[in-house]
Amino acid sequence: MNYYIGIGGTGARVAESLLHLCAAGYGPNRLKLFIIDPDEGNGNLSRTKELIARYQTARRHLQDQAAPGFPLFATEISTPDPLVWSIFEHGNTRLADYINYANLKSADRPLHDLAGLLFTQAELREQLDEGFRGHPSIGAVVMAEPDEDADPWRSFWTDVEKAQKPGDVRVFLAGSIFGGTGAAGVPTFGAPEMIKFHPRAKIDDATSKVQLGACLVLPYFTFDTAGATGPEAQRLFVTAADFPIATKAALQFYNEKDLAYDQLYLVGDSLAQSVGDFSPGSAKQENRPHYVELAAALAAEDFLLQPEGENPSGRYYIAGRRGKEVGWQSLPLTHDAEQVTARRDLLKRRLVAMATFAYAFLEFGYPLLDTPPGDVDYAWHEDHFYPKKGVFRRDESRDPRQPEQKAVLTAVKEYSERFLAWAAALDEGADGPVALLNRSRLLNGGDTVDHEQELAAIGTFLRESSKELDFNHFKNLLDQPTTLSDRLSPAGKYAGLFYEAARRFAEENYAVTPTPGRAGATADR
Amino acid sequence: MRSAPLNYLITFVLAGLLWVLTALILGGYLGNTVALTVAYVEDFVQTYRILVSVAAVLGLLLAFWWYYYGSRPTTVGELDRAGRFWTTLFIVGLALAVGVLVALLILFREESFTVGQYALFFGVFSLHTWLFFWISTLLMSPRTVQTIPWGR
Amino acid sequence: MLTPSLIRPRSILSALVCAFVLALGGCGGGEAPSSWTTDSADILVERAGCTDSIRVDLFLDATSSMSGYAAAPGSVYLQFLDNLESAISGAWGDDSVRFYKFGTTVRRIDRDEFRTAREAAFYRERGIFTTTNIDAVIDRVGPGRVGVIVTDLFQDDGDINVMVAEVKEHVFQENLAAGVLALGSPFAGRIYDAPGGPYDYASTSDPSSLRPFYALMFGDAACLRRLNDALGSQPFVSDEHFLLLDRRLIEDYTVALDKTRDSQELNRRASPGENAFAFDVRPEGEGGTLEGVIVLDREAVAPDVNAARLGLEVFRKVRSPQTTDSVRSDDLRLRSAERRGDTLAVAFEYTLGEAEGRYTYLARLRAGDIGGLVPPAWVQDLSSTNPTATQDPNKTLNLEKFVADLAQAAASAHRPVLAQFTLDVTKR
Repeated sequence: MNYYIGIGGTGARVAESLLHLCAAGYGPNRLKLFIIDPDEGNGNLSRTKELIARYQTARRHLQDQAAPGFPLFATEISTPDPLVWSIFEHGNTRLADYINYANLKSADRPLHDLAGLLFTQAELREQLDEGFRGHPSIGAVVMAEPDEDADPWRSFWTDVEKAQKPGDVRVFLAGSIFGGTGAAGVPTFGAPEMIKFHPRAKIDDATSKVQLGACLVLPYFTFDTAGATGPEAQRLFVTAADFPIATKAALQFYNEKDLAYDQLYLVGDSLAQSVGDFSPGSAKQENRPHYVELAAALAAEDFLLQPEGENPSGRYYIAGRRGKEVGWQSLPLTHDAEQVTARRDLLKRRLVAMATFAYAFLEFGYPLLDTPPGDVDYAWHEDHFYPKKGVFRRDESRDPRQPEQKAVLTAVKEYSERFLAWAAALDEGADGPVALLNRSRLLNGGDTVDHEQELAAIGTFLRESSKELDFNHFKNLLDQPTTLSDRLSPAGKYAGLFYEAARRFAEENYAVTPTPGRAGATADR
Repeated sequence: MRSAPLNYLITFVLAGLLWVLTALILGGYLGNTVALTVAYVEDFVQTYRILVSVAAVLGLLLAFWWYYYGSRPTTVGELDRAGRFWTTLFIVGLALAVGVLVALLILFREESFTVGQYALFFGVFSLHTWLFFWISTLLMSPRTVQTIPWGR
Repeated sequence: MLTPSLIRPRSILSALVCAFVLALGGCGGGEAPSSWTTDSADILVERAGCTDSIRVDLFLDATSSMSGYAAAPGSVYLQFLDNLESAISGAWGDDSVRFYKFGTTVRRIDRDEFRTAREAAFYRERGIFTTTNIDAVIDRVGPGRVGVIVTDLFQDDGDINVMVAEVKEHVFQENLAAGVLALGSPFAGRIYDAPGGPYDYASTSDPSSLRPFYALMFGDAACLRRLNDALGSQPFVSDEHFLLLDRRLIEDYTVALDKTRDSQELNRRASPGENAFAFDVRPEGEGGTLEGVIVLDREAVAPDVNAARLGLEVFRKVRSPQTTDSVRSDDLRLRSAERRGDTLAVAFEYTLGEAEGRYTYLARLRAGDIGGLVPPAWVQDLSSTNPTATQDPNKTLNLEKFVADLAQAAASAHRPVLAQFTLDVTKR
């Protein structure tokens, strides 16, 4: 059993990257996921929630009857309900309310005085349902007592209890070190009695059913605070200027504190990439994806994909880029040196295939559904989705235009839009440091690049040399024999065919051919 | 069956079989049954066979042309144009059948064939041209354009 | 199902080529040639064939009428006799010439006596000179030898009938030939056998006043041709006055045959060979009309042919479904024949009442046995039914009848073939 718990806005953003990796076929077989964030209106969080829903809808039709190892949406992702533990039962909660500060004065004066010593009056009065605003000390207090009888913790602990062997349940947490929620949650849940040696998890004093990992995301971006002047600027939100100090203090804390993490990943970047305008919290906080989040998601994959029985080595591993450019060669993939090359090849193959799929599906596959089936001349379409039934009739039950099928493909389309937007957003242009995908070859403003105007776009979206095959080649690949099961729903088969063609296209055009041996993620096909 | 060189080979064999049936066997039968006023039976049969062979070769070329066109990598991007091209080839096949029939009639203008025999000649030439093109492309068009001959 | 990797294109191509070649071979062979063993050479005049060793019996008419030839100055008759032996010797390397005098009887004479033929006494021998019985001479002619009779051919009707019967029996029916060479010679003497009684006649310097005498020749046709050729070196001998009655009249011939346009039940096929034709009878058909043009190259010394008396002889073999020997057939009948010079325009009616099958015919166009052969014009010119001192004094009594009867006898005995062709017919 694998759990990913994203803490705060960064945890949600890493979750988004993780979802995209899983959608591309670079993920564990099964993954349960929930988010801890008091700021339920956080834009990043709502984007992640929406993404998960689309992922699950698409996967249900694609993977249920697909052959084992089919990469697209391979990871079975399940979420508890609610997906987000928002910590507080009621809205408009203040720290003072949470610790019953007013009553403490009469009930337990020394404790009241201690709270007054630890928190400023401003902190005690701050509304917490929009996050801890970069003040982990507040979060540490409120996250220390999760309600085990309510989801998502109830499901979590039920799964843990069901586990039998040591390390059966792998739990990975991710959060930022520089914000409020993440900075509070990561060390809080790293405390031994919180998860690792919680009575429901531990087998004995030294053994637990839980293998615990975490990723602390160090400061990696800046945002523009020019628009946040006046009284708002004086409030308790974090600013980019606070990051170095907060980070230093946090790292010192982690070093001194006896946390129960079996593996801890620290991910950061010194490029200070801007992710957009500042937003203190709630719906406005929706920052542009950053490759560091991808690196954090890769850390989660490294943790979740490692073989069973892997014990903490007590060693430190470090991975960094050479020079300023972040290319496919510089992404950190695994602490297992022997697996680095295979993982790198697999990741590139899967992401390029997924990007090809998303582009082709958005540009050609989904719009084709607007054409009546009888007017479509493509052989693959006729064979699979409008087959002959006798001499003069057609089997219309295979038509993916049927409403329930179309709904699935709409989910795939929407997921593809998100994936493409995410992948493209990693790119900052030809002069930018990230040299993975070429945004301008995929997106033109908010739309995909017109494949009829730019036939070669599909073959040139990688920031490396390619054979520059064009969209016609992709269409020809759709006509290749398929191994997809006939039991797949029409929608599943439709998307599956496009994925297969995309995979072949990527292999031919971008030379991302499979290498022998298993890289650890979902099996290659 | 739709991929090269198999579709080319099968089409060639099909044309050969049809040629054996129409030029050799049917040609021999016609030599025995057609009433000829001035022509020698051998001349008639030979000319008939030459015309059937011409029709067969041209029909074969039409099919091969379509196979080549249909298997070009760029064709998938212009299926509407491919449809028009197929129609053009089909009409060319039809014109060939008529043309070869006219050639036969001119060469044997002194003969008086029956209506049934005229129909038979046209049927044979059609079998080698537009019908052959239609059947071949119906069954063995490259996958990219396999739906075109079926029409919509 | 076959996949491209499982097939071997070259093997398939080879198989296709083989099938194509076999198919072509199967269809292009056409009909097998006719099984007739005869060919055109069988009916054409043979130049060769006479042996180099020859025995010639030379019969000299010693009747009184012949003495006028010997008595005339510049006698062609005597020149002819003088050159005859040398001509024979020149034509054959090994020759044996025997000499005979004949009249009422026949008596062998030696060479020296033969040479006395230029003297009047030669024609006054008792028992020889009174009448001319050529038939008695013909009795002595047979195969393997050439008989030459030098005579003025003055015969009455009874003589002619007997003589023709003898020639027919001993010459024509023995597959031998007869030749009549007419020569004009100065004459000065009495003509005895004329119906109106003897009369005296003397020729002048006018060539038309010459009185003809004849060398009748019997023997193998090739030998007669050789002898005629040898004699032809003499200025007074001409082919124009030589008639050869042989069973072969034709030096060469061509036959063109086609169906008429309205014969829709017949389809013509390409000619299988020279003077060979092929037709198909369409299913449910029976036949039709065939038109032909036959160009004859008749031997110059042969009698003419009467187109109105032509006859067609047809033999038929069945080639399939079962092979049969040849039998006479009237499937092909001569409907008409029209002569234009050496060209015969003929029409045949072909009717096949048989079932499907392949048939082959050998058709021979023969001269009619009655009036089929026509003597040349010079015979009539030299002939008279009643020569007298005042009318036709220098013409030969009944020559025309004699030659005509002789030709009739030759025609009835030989039925000379003028042309032959084969006809392959397939009924589908």
